Amino acid sequence: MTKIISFESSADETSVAIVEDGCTILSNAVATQINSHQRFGGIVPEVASRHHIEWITRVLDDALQTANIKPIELDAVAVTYGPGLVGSLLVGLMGAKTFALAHNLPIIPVNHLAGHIAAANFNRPIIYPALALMVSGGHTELVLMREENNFSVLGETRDDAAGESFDKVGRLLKLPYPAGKTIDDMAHLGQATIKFPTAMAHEDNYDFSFSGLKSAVINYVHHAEQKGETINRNDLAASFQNAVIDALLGRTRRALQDFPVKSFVLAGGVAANSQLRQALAELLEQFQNTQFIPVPQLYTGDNAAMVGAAGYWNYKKKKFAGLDLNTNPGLDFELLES
Amino acid sequence: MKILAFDTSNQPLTVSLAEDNQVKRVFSTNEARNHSIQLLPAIQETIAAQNWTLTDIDRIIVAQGPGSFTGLRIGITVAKVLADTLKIDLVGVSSLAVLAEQVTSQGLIVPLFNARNENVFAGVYREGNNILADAHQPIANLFNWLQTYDEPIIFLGDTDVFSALITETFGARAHMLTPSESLPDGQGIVSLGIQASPVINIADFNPQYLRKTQAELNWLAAHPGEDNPENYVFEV
Ligand SMILES: Nc1ncnc2c1ncn2[C@@H]1O[C@H](COP(=O)(O)OP(=O)(O)OP(=O)(O)O)[C@@H](O)[C@H]1O
Ligand SMILES: [Mg+2]
Repeated sequence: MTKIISFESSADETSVAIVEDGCTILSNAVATQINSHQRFGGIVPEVASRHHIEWITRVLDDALQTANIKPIELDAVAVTYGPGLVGSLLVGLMGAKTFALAHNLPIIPVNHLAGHIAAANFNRPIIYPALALMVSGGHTELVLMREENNFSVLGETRDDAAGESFDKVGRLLKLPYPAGKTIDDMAHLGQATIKFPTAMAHEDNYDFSFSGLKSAVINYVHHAEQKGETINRNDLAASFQNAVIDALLGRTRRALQDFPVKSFVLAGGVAANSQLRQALAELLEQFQNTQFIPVPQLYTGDNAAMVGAAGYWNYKKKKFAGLDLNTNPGLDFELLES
Repeated sequence: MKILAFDTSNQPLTVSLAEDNQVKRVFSTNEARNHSIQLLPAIQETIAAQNWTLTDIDRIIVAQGPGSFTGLRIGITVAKVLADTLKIDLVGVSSLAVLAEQVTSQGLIVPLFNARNENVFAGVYREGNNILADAHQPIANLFNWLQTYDEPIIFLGDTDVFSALITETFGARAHMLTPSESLPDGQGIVSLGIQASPVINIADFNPQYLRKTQAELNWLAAHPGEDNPENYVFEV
């Protein structure tokens, strides 16, 4: 049994977890700064960094206590070193390296996006080759995994990320930040009565674009305001969400047709969206040889357990780092070479 | 008592080991390399060179601020996690007091860090006492305060930026140490930290930024009486 302690602090969650063999969560302590950043309508990096250092030892102690594990029982320390906000990443990185030095444990560098995808293992084991739709606050991409721990990007967003578009529409509707969950709930109460454009549907690639949709929603709202019309906010939410999901579905279908894979992973913060999960489950019925493995809803947002899951992949390959490991705020997967 | 002390509050990086007040070994560099890369290898190598192990350490002393926000978080994260996980006593000292401690003078000692836009992080010290509290302030305010005294003044820290202004304002009364003469020497931090009592609650030990973020200042101005720090972060 391999027990890995993992640290995550790339954005506004401070988290430490202990995961066994990359799939069994012994503990997952998460402190979220959401109420703080709601004051500003988005993450303020310096404020986020300050909160991380205030919480790092609390979540560390909690993770060890909940799992009832002593440092001596651990095999390695995994940590997110990118992508993310540099000041935020630094606190988790320094915390993890210090813990590793203190207890003489190897350090495993983890790509945050690999972490999001690896959380699918908390549902059931990913089977390879696999395809992942990674949809979060900062990323929207289709990722091919020919084998475990091997990632090539088939296509990605050219402008806003899907989660970002939820948050921007949320700001327009004066919803608290981040707005994804609220829009998801509103959409349930509304009807998709407004036809918004689905960008790039006909282009011959796997890329996404959400800024046109965002502009269309803004125009719609401003136009209604000018004419003094009241809008049905739930209908607007449902229509916007529908357009996002249409775009995601279209590209995913194309990728699944071009790359026959054994499993399909839905990962990232937006993977919590109930209608998206439902729509993809239905799409996957047309791909009998592909198992649908969405990340469990509890682990779609940022958390350290997912870092422990991805860390285990590196652990098996002995991909370790030294005490001089630094952050890499712009870290990304390689593009698929064509 | 075996002591591990470090200061990452500005560009210089200093790690020192001491047995009580006796400094045994100092690692220091003023290279503009990332403290995030250098600090832990420096701690590891310094301790190994002394033939100590981390578990021998009885007390950690860290420069708690003011200084570069990122630099402070690097040092203090390391200090907190080490102290927490190895149950070692933890002490924080003022990064300005550390510099003042290195100077022998009966007059006023003014360590200062450049905080841009004619602002400084600075305090005024006399024979070990902080007689004007460390603060983020316009350099003009500091100078006005100093003009109410007529003792000799020693400035140290980021003096290069302000040297013309200092000479113009205080003339022969002022002496300056250059930035390279103002590097933490690894001794001042030990002398200060050995006297202090360790922090009770490691989780509540955080950098002394001496400055709120602009976003918070703006928000507080627009929302008087609504600040509710207890509520901002919570465990799910
Ligand atoms: N139910 C939901 N429906 C749609 N979006 C959601 C839902 N729940 C959360 N989100 C969105 O998920 C995003 C947060 O996801 P996540 O925490 O993975 O992003 P991040 O870590 O900030 O970015 P990245 O992982 O790309 O670095 C936010 O944009 C949020 O609005
Ligand atoms: Mg994320």
